[in-house]
Amino acid sequence: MRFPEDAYWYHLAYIVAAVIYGGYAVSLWWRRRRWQKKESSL
Amino acid sequence: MKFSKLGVIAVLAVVATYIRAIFFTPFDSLQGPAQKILYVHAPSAWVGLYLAFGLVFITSILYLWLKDPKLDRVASSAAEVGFVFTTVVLITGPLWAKPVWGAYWTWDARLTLTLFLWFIYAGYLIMRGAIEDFEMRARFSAVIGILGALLVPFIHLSVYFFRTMHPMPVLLKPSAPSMPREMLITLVSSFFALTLLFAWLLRERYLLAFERDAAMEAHS
Repeated sequence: MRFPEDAYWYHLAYIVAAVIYGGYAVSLWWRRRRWQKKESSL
Repeated sequence: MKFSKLGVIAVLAVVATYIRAIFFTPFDSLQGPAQKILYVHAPSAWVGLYLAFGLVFITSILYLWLKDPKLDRVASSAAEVGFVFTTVVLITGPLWAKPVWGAYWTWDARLTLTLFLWFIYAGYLIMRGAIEDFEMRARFSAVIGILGALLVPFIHLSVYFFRTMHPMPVLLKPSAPSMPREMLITLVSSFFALTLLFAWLLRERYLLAFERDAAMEAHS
């Protein structure tokens, strides 16, 4: 038995993983920046 | 966004690995292109379940013993980063299963236990946000973190204990890896690259926790 030839599923998986990992890295940067701003305003 | 040296190395390693996976690694003769999902699914599972939740287990036990706030910060940071990696595992798995099995999900032992583990750590993170008292939060987190991590060996061995549709391990097994050399190099590289990514994200998350705790202490 052979499975589908198109690369749709693995492209989708790589995009989803990139969005989640990239989004998490950005969220860490954003949370730290927001915290530092809040602290400096006190 | 400022990158540390570790961040630059981790991002470069991830980019190089997935360029190799996409353009320079052959398709599997049976599964076709969908097999390439393995290069993101398996290393994410390695990092999330074994490294991150393993670290939660060790640091939580040490916290209950030594009561050092640093250990709680490491445990909570590892739990959050591990949760992100496990989320990728639970999404990329069904994206592989759909073209290969014909269904996104089956309620077999490994998939169900991994989903259960994800809910445990979701509860862990929600609980941390709900308790203000530092000591109570750290103690409750340590207990949940330890109990959650105890599931990991069962998840690893579930493919041997139960009749499951999930493939057997390719790398994390006592015998030699069962894969052609070109694919194996890509797979090992992806384990290495995502381990570096984990180290960087963990460091950043720890720094956030450290700054928050330091400010809380200064204001109290």
